[in-house]
Amino acid sequence: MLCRHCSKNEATTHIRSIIGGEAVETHLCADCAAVMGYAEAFPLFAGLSDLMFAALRNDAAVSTLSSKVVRCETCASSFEDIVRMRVAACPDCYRVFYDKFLPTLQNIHGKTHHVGKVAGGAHEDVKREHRLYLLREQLNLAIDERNFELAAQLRDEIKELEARGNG
Amino acid sequence: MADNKRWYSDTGSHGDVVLATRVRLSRNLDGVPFPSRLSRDALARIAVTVCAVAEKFKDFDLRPIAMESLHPYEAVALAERHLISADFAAARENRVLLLSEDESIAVMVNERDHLRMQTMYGGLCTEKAYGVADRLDNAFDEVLTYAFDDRLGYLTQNPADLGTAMRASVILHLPVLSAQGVMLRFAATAPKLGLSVRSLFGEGASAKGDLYVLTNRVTMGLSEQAALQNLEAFTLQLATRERAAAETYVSQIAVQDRIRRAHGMLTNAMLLSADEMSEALSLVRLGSVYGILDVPAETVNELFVAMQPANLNCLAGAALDASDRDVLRARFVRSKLSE
Ligand SMILES: [Zn+2]
Ligand SMILES: [Zn+2]
Repeated sequence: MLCRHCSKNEATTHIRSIIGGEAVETHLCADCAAVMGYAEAFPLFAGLSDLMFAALRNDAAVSTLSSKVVRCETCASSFEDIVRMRVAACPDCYRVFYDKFLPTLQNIHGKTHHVGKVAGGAHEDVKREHRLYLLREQLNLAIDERNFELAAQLRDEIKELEARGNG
Repeated sequence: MADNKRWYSDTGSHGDVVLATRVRLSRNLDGVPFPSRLSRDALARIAVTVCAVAEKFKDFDLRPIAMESLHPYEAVALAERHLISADFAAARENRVLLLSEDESIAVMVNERDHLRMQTMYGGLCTEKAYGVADRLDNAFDEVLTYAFDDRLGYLTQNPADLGTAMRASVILHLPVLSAQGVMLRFAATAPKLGLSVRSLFGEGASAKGDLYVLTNRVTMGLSEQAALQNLEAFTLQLATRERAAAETYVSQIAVQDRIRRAHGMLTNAMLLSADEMSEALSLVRLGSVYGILDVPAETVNELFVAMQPANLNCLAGAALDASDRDVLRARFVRSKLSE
């Protein structure tokens, strides 16, 4: 099947969406799909691309060779199950198979460590680290803007927070 | 009262180019499999729990809607208004929507993640939209235990959402850049900034109505604030280019002719298909923004939303066939534009 947009390349991305109440299927080549932003448009149907999961599949192949299959205690999924489903089955899957997820995360996001809001259930030291991160960002901004009064204030706050962590 | 207006009836900041800003946060309950792996009973328990929690909120007045209780076209109409995902409208079993009166806050319960909350307002307002979503998130977080990992952030069904689990989007109207055929070129630069561009309606390059959605792609290793800043910066860049190109574009007599003909067609047509309307509405909106026509931009925004098939069905109170919809659409557009 040829790409609906360029009619040149083989269509590899199949998108199902509801437009105006009617289900519409679109078939695009990878290039056109990327240009139109379809890679992210309907992740529910699309899941992850083959490319993103290539690394995972290799890992899963290795794990089936070993006799003991590791399973997530909460949902009983093996890593192979997750690769087949293309999505995690429960939050704990990420904790059990953390190392195996990393290459995929690197592929998708270019990063593997969270920066940003922290859930209330998280540990106190995670919250402090996050607060420190934000304060340092603000400090850099204050220095850029030559707001030295604010910078001094922020430096004190950072020092105090760091001290609490070491104490 | 701007605050009580729905996103499509309110032209906010940079309203000439930006129709709306939406922020979505995905959250899951710790130790509970994701919705696609749960039994009917377990899903029902989650829905009851979340509704009970939301009922006690003092700052947010959210009304629960059992998706199964809706007529299919009512569910699709919600998706057409960008309040829920297309999948949430398509598979409605065991799913509940919490919706505020003004539709600015919507929480999908048991979508791909246990909770997917969104805020949506007219114009460019990333700070406001995130601010409200953040407060709603905190209110849930006080009572529920979220699935969160120090290294991976909020744990979500799809690894592509891990980290902040935030999707922030803006809906843009870019008729001049579209007409000049440069939208695809700009869209291609978006991924470098961790953003994606797609058309709001339709498929492929023919963005019906010249409407586009710009969304952040990266959720890991980038704070919410940084992602929102990226989104806003690229939006402003596109807006600047659109305005610069529009100045000479709309001064052409041929363009003004097309704008006025589109308006004439919409105010006279007896039958109006969705495609025909979108194309003409885009021109009318351009004419409205640049003072060629005396039509408020928010009237055009409302028509873009209200004249979609499922919303028309809601208006009629029945599942009309396409030809009946074309009659109703034409009648409604005529009356709206001659107000
Ligand atoms: Zn193509
Ligand atoms: Zn699991």
